[in-house]
Amino acid sequence: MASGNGTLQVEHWGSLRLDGDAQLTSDKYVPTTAKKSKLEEIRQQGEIQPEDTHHIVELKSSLVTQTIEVMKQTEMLQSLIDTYSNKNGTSNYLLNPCQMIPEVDFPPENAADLVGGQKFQKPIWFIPTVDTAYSRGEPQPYPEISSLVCRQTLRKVMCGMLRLAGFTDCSESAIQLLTDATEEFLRSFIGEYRETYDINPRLKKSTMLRLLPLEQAYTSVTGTSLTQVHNYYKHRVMARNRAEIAEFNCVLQEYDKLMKESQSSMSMQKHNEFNGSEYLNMLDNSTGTGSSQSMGHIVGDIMQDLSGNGNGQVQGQGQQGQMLRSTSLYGLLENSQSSTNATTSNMTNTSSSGGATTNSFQPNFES
Amino acid sequence: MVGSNFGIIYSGSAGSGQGNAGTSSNVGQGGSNLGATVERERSSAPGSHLSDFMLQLEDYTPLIPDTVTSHYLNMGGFHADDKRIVRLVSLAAQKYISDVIDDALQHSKARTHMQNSNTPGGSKAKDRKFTLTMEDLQQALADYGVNVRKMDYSQ
Repeated sequence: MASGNGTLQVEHWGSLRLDGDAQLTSDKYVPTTAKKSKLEEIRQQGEIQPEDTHHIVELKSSLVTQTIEVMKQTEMLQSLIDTYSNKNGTSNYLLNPCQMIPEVDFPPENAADLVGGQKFQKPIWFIPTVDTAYSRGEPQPYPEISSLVCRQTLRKVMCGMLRLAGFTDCSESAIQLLTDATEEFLRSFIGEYRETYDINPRLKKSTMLRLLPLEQAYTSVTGTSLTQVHNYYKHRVMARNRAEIAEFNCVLQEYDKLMKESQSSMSMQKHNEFNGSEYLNMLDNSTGTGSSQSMGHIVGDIMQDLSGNGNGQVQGQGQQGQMLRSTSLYGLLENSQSSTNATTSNMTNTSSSGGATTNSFQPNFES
Repeated sequence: MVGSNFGIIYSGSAGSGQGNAGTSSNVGQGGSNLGATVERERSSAPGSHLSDFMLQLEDYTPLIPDTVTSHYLNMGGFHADDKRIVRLVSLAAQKYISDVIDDALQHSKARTHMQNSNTPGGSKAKDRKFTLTMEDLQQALADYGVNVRKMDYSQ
């Protein structure tokens, strides 16, 4: 706009107004002389500490953790059963008599029932809702975490999910790929969720979470309803947990049965075990009884027969033949028994009631 | 499968569950008024049943922590402070992962079986070890629309 004297008055956009008469009042600035005292006041309040921004992200799902633990226990028991017994082709196990099954101690809390029967059996709408802060939908603030922490957390989640599915190992790149896929799913799902808000004029500016748009978004992303999530929760989380616990209890019962069988057979073996003192006792006609399977037990039996099984009676021709066949075993023992000649002679004395049979063995001992 | 637990119908999956079959026959016998009622129920049922389900999730902590899900919800422009919805989103993501991993396990089992059968005198012992490989995971993810390709320089 031209002025009267011909000069053009230019007004720049964004230029500062020069208010020469503007005065700073005392409440709008701190005078330099007062700064020192204010700084000292702040120092007296203590050192300014940086705000603590550490948050703990808990990776805890009791139901899934229990399922994985029970699976591991079942695998352990099954491998123990396979180690200490032989499968007979049928469902019965033949116990290996040479090995004793160790005792295992799993606390019963490991297989405790975490899911109430009511929730498992009844449809959800028959379960009364308890009035809690959660059911009322009271807002709960969550700590802000970085994307890096989210990815690290998701990686750990993937490991848990893989173990739950039945994988025992995995490659590093596969975990990474799975994490990426999950992150992509979450982004696309939430992006779709946002779009359902955006196309609705009433919800366009809303940031509150609502259920029905979530259902629409899930349907558009996966082609199924969110009710499938319920089915997943019911059948593959809760029912799986119960199935694993049932399998564990079944294997544990089988293991207990085998362990008792093993313990009883081992105690019998210990009872019949041949050792030097028992041998001497046998010579004194005071040996025990029992079946035998090892070399020591065969010798023990023969010695038992020699001593007349406590009463010194000869049982006739059949038994005599059996005992004669056993002389070869005594021949095998000859060298080891040579140092006990004095005892052997003692034996012939003490077992004099053995009669002819006993005498027929005497040359073997004397030689 | 849909509707077998809730007794609700979705047009996209009609006839797939027991609940669907039963309700469809009622609609056919009832006439127009009953049909309209059922239609109204259809429109309101998912929300009510889902909210029931959502409330039952209080005792169940999904494997994906709520904090992580709320982070992604915040990134999407939401104010994620409703624990019920956050938990439902977590569970939906957990289901997705579980589906992918189950498919990968099937691929892994099939591959292991093929290898054992092709190997002469291969071990017939029950093998309980399964390793997740990229090969199995790629096949599983392809079914969910995620195509994995190696970069040209790594091929």
